[in-house]
This record gives sequence, structure tokens and C-alpha cells, in this order.
Amino acid sequence: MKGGVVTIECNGEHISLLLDQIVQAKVVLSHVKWVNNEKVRITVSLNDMMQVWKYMKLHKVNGRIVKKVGPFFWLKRMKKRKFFVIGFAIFLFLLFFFSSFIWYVDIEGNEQIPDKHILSILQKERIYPGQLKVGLPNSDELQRKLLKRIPNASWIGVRLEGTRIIVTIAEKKRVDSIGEKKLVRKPVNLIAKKNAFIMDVRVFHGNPVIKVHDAVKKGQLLVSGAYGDATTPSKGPIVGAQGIVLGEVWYQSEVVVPLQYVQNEYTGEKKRYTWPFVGQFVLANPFQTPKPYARSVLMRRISAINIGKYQFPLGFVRDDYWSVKQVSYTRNHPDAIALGKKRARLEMNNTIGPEGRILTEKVLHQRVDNGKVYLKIHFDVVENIAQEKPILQGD
Amino acid sequence: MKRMSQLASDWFDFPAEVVGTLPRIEWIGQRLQIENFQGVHQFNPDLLILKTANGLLTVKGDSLVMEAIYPDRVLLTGKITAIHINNKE
Repeated sequence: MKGGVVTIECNGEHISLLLDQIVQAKVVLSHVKWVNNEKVRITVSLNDMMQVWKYMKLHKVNGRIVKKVGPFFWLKRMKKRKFFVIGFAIFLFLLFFFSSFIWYVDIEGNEQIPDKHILSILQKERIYPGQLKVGLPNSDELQRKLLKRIPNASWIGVRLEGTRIIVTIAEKKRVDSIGEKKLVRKPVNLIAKKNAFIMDVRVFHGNPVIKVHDAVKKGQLLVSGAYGDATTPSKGPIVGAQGIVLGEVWYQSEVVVPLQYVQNEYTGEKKRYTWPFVGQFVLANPFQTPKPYARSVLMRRISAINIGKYQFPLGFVRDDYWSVKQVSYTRNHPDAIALGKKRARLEMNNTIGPEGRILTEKVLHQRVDNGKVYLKIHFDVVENIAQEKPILQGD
Repeated sequence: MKRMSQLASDWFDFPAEVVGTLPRIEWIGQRLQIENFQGVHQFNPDLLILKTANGLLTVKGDSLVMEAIYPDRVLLTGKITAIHINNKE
């Protein structure tokens, strides 16, 4: 490391002569340049510097070193700041040394599996704080191994971020934690909601006191919550009754379907007004009339200003007025009856609930009056007639 | 010596500058390269006089800089205005 280039500023009378002699001595000069009328700057390699210096002494030319460039001088400077250089080297070494270890093991995503369990398994796979990063197994392989060892996890991801290993766990969801409402036992009897003819009895708890094909009256005991025998249903320990008792029930419903009806229809035209709002106040323009059509439907959309997660109480309200026109239609007689039946069936299904079903239906009576079709329909349905009634104790 | 080389160049039909010690001047834009010179006679910001086999070679110009100077070759830059050779004969 002897390379280097020195720029010397020469100041003297016989500079031309000096240059001549230097050139004759087969020394290579570069950037020979006059600074002003007396001084000239020459650049010479470090090896030739002593020779140049000798000639300068000979010709009584004063020289001053202006610039030193090259690895030789860097080394020289480094020697001067030895301790700084050593310190820097130690710093770099320590930085690399300490960043080649795992310092943290983070586990995320686990709810059921305890952290300690996962950490102990990771330790067996040689992942723990203080382990060298270079010795780590391949992360795909590691994920497979961990998954084999933790059967409750459905997926495990391992990733290295600097000196931190992050293990992400997706747990399997247990069936019982998702499913089925828990059966809550209450000290109740089941009694009949209405007069009915028993079709089916499904008892989860309790002592049934009726049989299929029995006719029951409203308020009659169906399933006893006290677990005695059939003859004395109210005696014995109280377990609480729970179950479904399906009974056949008759319904009569009346429906009215008009033959002429009016419907709102969009014309496709709309007008949009955009107002700013602050808090709960909409700053509408008082000179703009927000009622462009005779009939219209308003659809309002509010867009507040969001920054990140925060929503500001500022923003814009967009009011769309959709133009609407009224169109009247007529339906014929059979259509009206079909519609009435459909509506009645829908209503019936709502009243009898999910357990019930319609057995038969029959139109008992129909008449047209004042442009409307009146229907009287008989339904024969099966529905849950069980009703909970608390068992009163102490009397 | 000089005669020998001149003879050789005549006989073998070499270009004169390859064999001889005659100066060869190459001037491209603001760069001037002079080969086969024998010494620096004078150097100023506006004047460079070189010793050559033919005599003194004068280069006039403005803010002349010798980019590199080798024992037989000099590379000159700057605003060169005139080149003049003062033949010995």
C-alpha cells in the first residue's frame, strides 16, 4: 500500500528549468498548472516525490504540499487514529456477532394452546433465545415438524425478522365450541297452548303424560317436569320438562286482495345534492331546493373523513332524489285468488314457527266486493303446542 | 545517429516519426499532444516553449495546463492560439 499522489505547489524563479530537469529524469508529471504568475502546481506520484523534491532544493524552489490522495495516506491517517479505528472495528464485529443470534421468540395466534407448551416444543427443535441463526433448520421443514408435534394447530408459520423468530399458530376450532345451544333446564312443566290433536311427542327431559293421537285441551299438562310415574306425575324430583309436542290444529284465515293496485316505480331520473356536514348538522344551501320531483324517494349516503381508524365528525352528505311515478295495475280473478292463498300460507308459516307444517288447506268461501277479492281459507296444520309453565312449589 | 535513422526511414519507407526524433504534433480541439520533444525551455500560463530536434517549438495560448508530461510526450490543454516552430537552420 504505497500508492498515492501528491500535489505540490512550487514557488521560485527557475521553474521552467526545474520542469525540464524533472522531465529529463524520466519523472511523469501531471496537471502542471499555473496558479498565479509565480506559483505552479504539479501532481506527482508518491514514488517520484523524493526525486522531485531533490531537484527543487537544487533550483532553490520552495515547495508546499497541497493535497495528498491515495491509500498510503489513508493508512497513515488511520495510524494516527488507531483507537478510533480499533473501536469501529470492534463495533462492527459486535454488531454482526450479536445480530447472528436469536434474541426473542414470539408466539402469536394461540388461544387454547399455552405459550409454555409451544416454547418447550420449540426448544426441542433447537429454537430458543441465544441460539445461533445460522444453525436454524429450513422454515418449511420446521413448520412441518412443529405441526406434527402440535396436533391442535391447523397451521403453523415460522418467520425470522432480524433477531426475532415469530411463530404464528392457527388453532383448530373444536366442534363443541362452535355448535349447538346448550340445553338449559328450568323447573317447568309443558302444557298445551291450544286445543289440539297430538301427532308427535319428542321429550328431551321430563315425563310425558299424553300419548300420540290424544286430544288435548288448552292448558292441559303434556309433559311433567317432575319425574314421578305416570299416575302421579306431580310427585318425585323435579328435573324440568323440555321437549316438542306436535299437535294438529285448525286455523281459519281471511285474506283481502284488491283487484286494482298502485305501485311506485322508479323513472330512472335522479338528482344529487351534496352537502357538507359538521357533527349532526348538515350545512345545506338554502337557495337550492331539494325537492325536484313531484314524487321522489330520498337515498342518503354519508361519507365522513377518515384518517386511519379515526372518523372525523366532518364530511359530506350525498342526497340522491330518485324520481318515482305511481302506476296502477289490475289483476284478474284467478291471479288474485292465487296471490291471496300465497299470502295466507306465508302468514300461516310465520305463526306456526319452524317446527310446524301445513297439512291441508282449503278455500271455504270467496267473494268479490268493491273491487276486492275476499277469501276465507281453512288450514289444517301441525305445530308445536308445548308451552312452558313454571312448577310452583310450596303449596 | 540521426543520419542512420533517417537513412533507415528512407530505405524501409517507415513514417518518419516512428523512427526519428522529429517532433510529432497532434492537435484536437483544445488538446495538443506533442511527441518526441527534448526538453522544456519555458513554461508560462500563456506560453510554452519546448526544445525539439528541429529547434524551439512555441505554443501560444491562454491558461495553458500540462495535463501530463512524460519524458518524450506532453499533453497540453487550454486555449491554444498559435504554434510556431523556429527552425535551427
